[in-house]
Amino acid sequence: MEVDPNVLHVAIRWLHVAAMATAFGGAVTVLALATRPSVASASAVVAVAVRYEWIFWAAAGVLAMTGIGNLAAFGAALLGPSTDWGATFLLKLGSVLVLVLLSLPRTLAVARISAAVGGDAHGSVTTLRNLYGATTALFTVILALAVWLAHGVAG
Amino acid sequence: MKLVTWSLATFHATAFVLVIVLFGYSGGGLGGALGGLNTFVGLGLFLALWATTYLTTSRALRGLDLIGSARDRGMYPRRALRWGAANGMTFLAILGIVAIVTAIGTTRPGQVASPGSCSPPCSSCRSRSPFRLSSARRSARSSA
Repeated sequence: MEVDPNVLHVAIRWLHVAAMATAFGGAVTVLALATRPSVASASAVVAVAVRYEWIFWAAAGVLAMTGIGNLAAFGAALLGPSTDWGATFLLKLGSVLVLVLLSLPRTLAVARISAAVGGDAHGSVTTLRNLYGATTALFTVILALAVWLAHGVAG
Repeated sequence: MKLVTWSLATFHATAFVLVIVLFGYSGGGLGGALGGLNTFVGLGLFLALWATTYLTTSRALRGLDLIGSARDRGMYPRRALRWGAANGMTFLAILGIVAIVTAIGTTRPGQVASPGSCSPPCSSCRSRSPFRLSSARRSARSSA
């Protein structure tokens, strides 16, 4: 059965955007929960953060996979790194790499907090707030670059 | 399935691919290389890399507590080296199988040439064909 390449590319792009929305939305949610928690909800915030880390890494894998699929859709028409679009794309790729590199220590920190929860749960929430604040900020930069790449002027 | 295993495996697979794309794009020629790759084959290869990386990472972490034990953290690099090598070899084997299957699938029956069947004869045919052109005829052809 022959698959229409346009339908395939739209499906891949949809998956890419859905994974980004999940990862970004989840980070914002954990940040919002960690910003003003009550003492009773501190352990709940840690539990939500642990659940988010599972989802984040699934989304990261899907984003990398579908991102390459999006690039392949350009084929030989892909603009070079010397163009404005190419420079912005390199900046976006570098930002994604930084996000992935910084996310591993964040996940390990969340796992450690989860294993030690019950002690200083309130202090743990402060750590989570800082971690997810940085994650959300980096996601915002990547999203802005992605929007520019999709809708900005190529040249 | 553990969070540490899942995150480490996905981290390795994703960072590996991102670095390749980053260097491939900045060096130029990535669009042409990706354009020649079947979409399903590309997605399948990434899933295969993700799966082999997960399996080897879980083997490397088996019995270790990276979060709670400093001694286990010290044992991890050696195991990571061993299982990382196993992952690389496994993925290379998958790449080889995919390349062979793709080559077989895209080769038309008429494309399989026997020596001397090319027209005009290629250098390989000229050297291997029993009906090899004599050097006098070859030089006459080239001068024409």
